[in-house]
Amino acid sequence: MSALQRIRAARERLTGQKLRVDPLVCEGIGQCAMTASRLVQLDRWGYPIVPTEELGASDLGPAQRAVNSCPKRALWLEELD
Amino acid sequence: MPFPRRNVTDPWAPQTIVQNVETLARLALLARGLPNPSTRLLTVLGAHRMVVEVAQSTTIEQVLIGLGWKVAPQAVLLGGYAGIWAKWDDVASLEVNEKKMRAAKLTLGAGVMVPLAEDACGVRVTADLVSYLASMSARQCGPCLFGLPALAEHWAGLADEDGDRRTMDRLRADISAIEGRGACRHPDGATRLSTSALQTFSAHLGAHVSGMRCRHRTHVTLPGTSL
Repeated sequence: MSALQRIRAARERLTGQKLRVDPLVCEGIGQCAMTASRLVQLDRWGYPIVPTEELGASDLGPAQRAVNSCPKRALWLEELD
Repeated sequence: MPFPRRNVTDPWAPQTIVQNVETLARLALLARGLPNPSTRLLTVLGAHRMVVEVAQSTTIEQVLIGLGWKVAPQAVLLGGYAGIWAKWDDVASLEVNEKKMRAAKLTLGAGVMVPLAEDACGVRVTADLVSYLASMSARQCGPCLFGLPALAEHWAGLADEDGDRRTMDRLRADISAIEGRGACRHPDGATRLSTSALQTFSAHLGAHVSGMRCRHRTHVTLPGTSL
């Protein structure tokens, strides 16, 4: 996470949700990174690296689109307690 | 949560269960109302596989002396093949007590310990271990299926003296790319081993990447790893 992202995240309202990926189901198709490039990066083998921290309000839309875009349904939003 | 989805090919095939003998022995004692024993089972790998039961107040140095080591090793791998390399001077006087190990950011794991002789090449042994771990992948997730062979390749390059500083940078980058992303902890074991080897053998790695010929005896056989 860059310094700018950290500042933005600190200022932003948190959503109590996290983006998760099931590494067993993921086949490295890469739709998630194409749909939400700011949120999801791919490692050099094409598998997604999702943010480990709680999602900010502005990330929720892209995260939901990434979840919906996955042909293997490997991503989901998890409610934090 | 991640859940291994494997097709059951033969529901009547014999099932496998793996349990720790030491845990079972302790459970039996506890069930009889006896106190928890103050000993620890250790498997020390070298030319031979030795299993010893020692008091938890025994230091690692005393364990090796008891097993007939006359010369101090350069380093010890603690916690099995996916464990942590530590320099001998840092751990010689450490007791084989899990609490004290944890305080020193180490672990005995299942109690497997590999002392590395002064004249052995830690880079070569680590390369063998990482490639063994890569071969033992359950092949269920990307970080393990592709990440571990990549780590093994970097280590093999470093061990064969084909590698340079960039190989080490790539190794570090791949370690951080894999860490914590596997479906199980198997890849984390390989990254932990790699990270500790980078620290413990940093001086020797420096010699490997600068093109100097490794004068260490490179052949160390560890049970199960010969592929």
